[in-house]
Amino acid sequence: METYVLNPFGLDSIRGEERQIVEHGPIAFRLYAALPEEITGAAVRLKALNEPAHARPLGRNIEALHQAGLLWSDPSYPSRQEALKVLPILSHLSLAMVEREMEEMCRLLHRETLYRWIERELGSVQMMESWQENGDFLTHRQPRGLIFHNLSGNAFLLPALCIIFGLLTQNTTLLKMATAEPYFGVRFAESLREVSPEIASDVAVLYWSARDEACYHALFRQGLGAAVAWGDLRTVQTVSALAGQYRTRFIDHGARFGIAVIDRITRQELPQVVQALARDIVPWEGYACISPPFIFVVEGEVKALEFAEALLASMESMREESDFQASFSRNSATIANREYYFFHLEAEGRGKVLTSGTLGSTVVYSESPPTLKDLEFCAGQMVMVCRATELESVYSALVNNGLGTHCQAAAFYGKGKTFLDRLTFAGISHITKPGDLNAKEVGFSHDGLFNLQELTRLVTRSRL
Amino acid sequence: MVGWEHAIGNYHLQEDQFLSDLVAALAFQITHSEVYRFLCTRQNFSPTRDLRQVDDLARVPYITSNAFKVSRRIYERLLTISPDEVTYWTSSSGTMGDRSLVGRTATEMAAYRRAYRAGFLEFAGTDAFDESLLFFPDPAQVIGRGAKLRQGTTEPFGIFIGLEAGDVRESASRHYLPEWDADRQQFAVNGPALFQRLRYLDAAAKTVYLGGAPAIMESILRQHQDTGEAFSFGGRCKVQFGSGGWEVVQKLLGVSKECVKLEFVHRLCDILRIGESSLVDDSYGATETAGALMGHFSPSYGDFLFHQPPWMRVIVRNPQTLAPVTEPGERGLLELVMPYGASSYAGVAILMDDVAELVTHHSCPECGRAGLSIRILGRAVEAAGLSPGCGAIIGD
Repeated sequence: METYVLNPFGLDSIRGEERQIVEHGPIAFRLYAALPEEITGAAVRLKALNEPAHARPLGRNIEALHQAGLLWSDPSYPSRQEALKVLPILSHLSLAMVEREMEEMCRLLHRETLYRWIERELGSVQMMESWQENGDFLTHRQPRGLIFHNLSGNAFLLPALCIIFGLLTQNTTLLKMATAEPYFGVRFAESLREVSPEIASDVAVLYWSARDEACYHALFRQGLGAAVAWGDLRTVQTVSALAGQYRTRFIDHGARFGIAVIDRITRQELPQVVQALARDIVPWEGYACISPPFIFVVEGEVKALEFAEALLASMESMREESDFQASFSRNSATIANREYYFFHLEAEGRGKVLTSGTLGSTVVYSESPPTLKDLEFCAGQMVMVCRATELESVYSALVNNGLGTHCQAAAFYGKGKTFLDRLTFAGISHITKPGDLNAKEVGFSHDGLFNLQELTRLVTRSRL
Repeated sequence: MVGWEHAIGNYHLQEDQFLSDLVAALAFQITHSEVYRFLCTRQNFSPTRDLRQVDDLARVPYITSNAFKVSRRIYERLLTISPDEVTYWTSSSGTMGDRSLVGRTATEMAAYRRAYRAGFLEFAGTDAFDESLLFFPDPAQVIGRGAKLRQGTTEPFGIFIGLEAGDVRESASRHYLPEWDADRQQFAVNGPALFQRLRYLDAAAKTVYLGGAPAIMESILRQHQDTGEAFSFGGRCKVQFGSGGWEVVQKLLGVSKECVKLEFVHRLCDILRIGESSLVDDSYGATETAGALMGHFSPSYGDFLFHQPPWMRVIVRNPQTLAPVTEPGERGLLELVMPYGASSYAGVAILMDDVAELVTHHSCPECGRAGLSIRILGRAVEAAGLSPGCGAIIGD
């Protein structure tokens, strides 16, 4: 078993001796779980850097990020080579998908993209650096200070994004890595240090157990500019409770999911729509939080069951082209989740479990709308196609079954474009065409939160 | 309904008998469990038609261990009796946050206790020990105190296993060591008192049985770390693990999951001066099945080799095709098939969420026991339902 040592990033020195071994299939990490007093020390150091970080021209941060992007674009960069070995294991994505995500990150780090991002979210770089005319007032954006990101799950670009958010908003950043993916944040911060040790010192990437309450209190006690919770419900609850206790601004990036709404398509349109949706699902193996677990099909010429069968065929055909090998964990979950729907839907005559191959894709056809409970079981290569009689019943399902508040992006195809307003009113933040759900564009938000805005304060003054 | 008395503990059980009992048990379950009948119909399976020889076993429709999780709301529908006839709702520990509930009557309880007892005795020998030190919570403190559910009570499945381990000559020589530590919210053993007792037993040349959860037995290591004291039991000591908790030991030892069993067994052998690691066994079972597998430690594998008793069959299914693996060294999902002790619920064929490796089909390369041997490598599913992803339910 290959073991990678992950040293904490941003600690002056390590006091404890214990290293924790976290295994992920054929690889393992030796992690250092930071002690509460070390976390306090890191927070004190970062808070002391808030003023210098604010005083530094934003252009320098952008340039450092651009240079880090050039490093990661270089096929001979040792950290990139290592990451391409490690990340397919951690993320369960194929190597091709990891490479695609890596390219996406490098594109994001390009200076032109970073400037465009700031312009779309904040108006201009100048808005961060000085007072700007705004009618009768002057406006300005101020950093919030030390930002804490509590990560969970295995989306490996997320820690890099959190560091980027911090540097684009002149904040300092402390990341708590997840056991499921303790790796990439450390390597990304190390790449930043290669480019600019000064700018990298605005960042700390640490690990401690999510159950270690003393560590959290040690951090929050120092006074944070904001606390951001990513991922699962338990993390969100933990961080929000602490934020309430210490009166810290709380940003909820908790788990959200995508949906697709297909409105009365013709048989002629069917192949292109299912192919596009398969693109939103298969390459991601259902992990990306914007892959839609639920697809509502408003019946017209094409019935929902026929749609489900066509989607399954399309997913399977796309799957054959991928090099994905499901883990034991995924297969075991697939077997158990199929069984759940055999008993809860098919045995009761309320739907059908459509499968291809022994453990290939699964499409669950349901005559009823999904509930939050279904979110627990529709994961991986499983999607649920729900029969709908009209668009308004989709709206009702989102609102009445409590799904709307957990939704983020939706893919829409069909005639009823006036329904798009209802969709966003029900909770959807971003609407795309099928096939584009995972497209990343700066200035758009997949979950309704605009991070550069969230991590800065818009301040105003009158003309004095 | 199929009786179990003639089969569990019978090391001379013939394959024909096993097969005919299996056909009868499946026919009973198809008749009395609507969901199992649905599954068999869906898979076009008929036990009388399709189950002619042991090689046909892989065709038997299985229920997953996850199906019994409370969150899945199927456990009552998996019963072959009325929920009101259930005496004990045996529950798993729910370490993954979602416990299983399996409805059993006194008959099924007796069957699984007998299965564990048979395994413990087969590997420890039938001679009673002078003293048993059990790292299981005292069953008397737990059994009968569970919450009422319909006409029955919920009972932790594992607690009954502690009643069957480590036979002694006099009942007063059985000691359940762990006590509930309210501050730490866990069972803990008084290390100094334990070593004091071991010191006495060693000096008095007594035979000693140590059994129970590795997660609690790690107290031996902790006490040794504090005092450096060791013993010289030699062949007078037998260790049998049960109930799991290797991750606790792994954390204490700071070694990889691959090495934890080897390291723990070596350290225990050193502290107790057992001499031969073959005197250390492990047991494997689950709330969802009446069967138990026993395994002896293998220094060459650095792991326990588990053996299939004649009243049970083990299938290791390829994780991609679900076909039984055939080559030694192949890994897959573990399935346990046992026609006995599952008359109250559809539990004849259970697909576990554990990963196993086939060691041999025929006879154990180390102990010579006939039949299939496997290693058990741990959980396949980190959490029922979602796998870790950016929108996962796993929190750490």
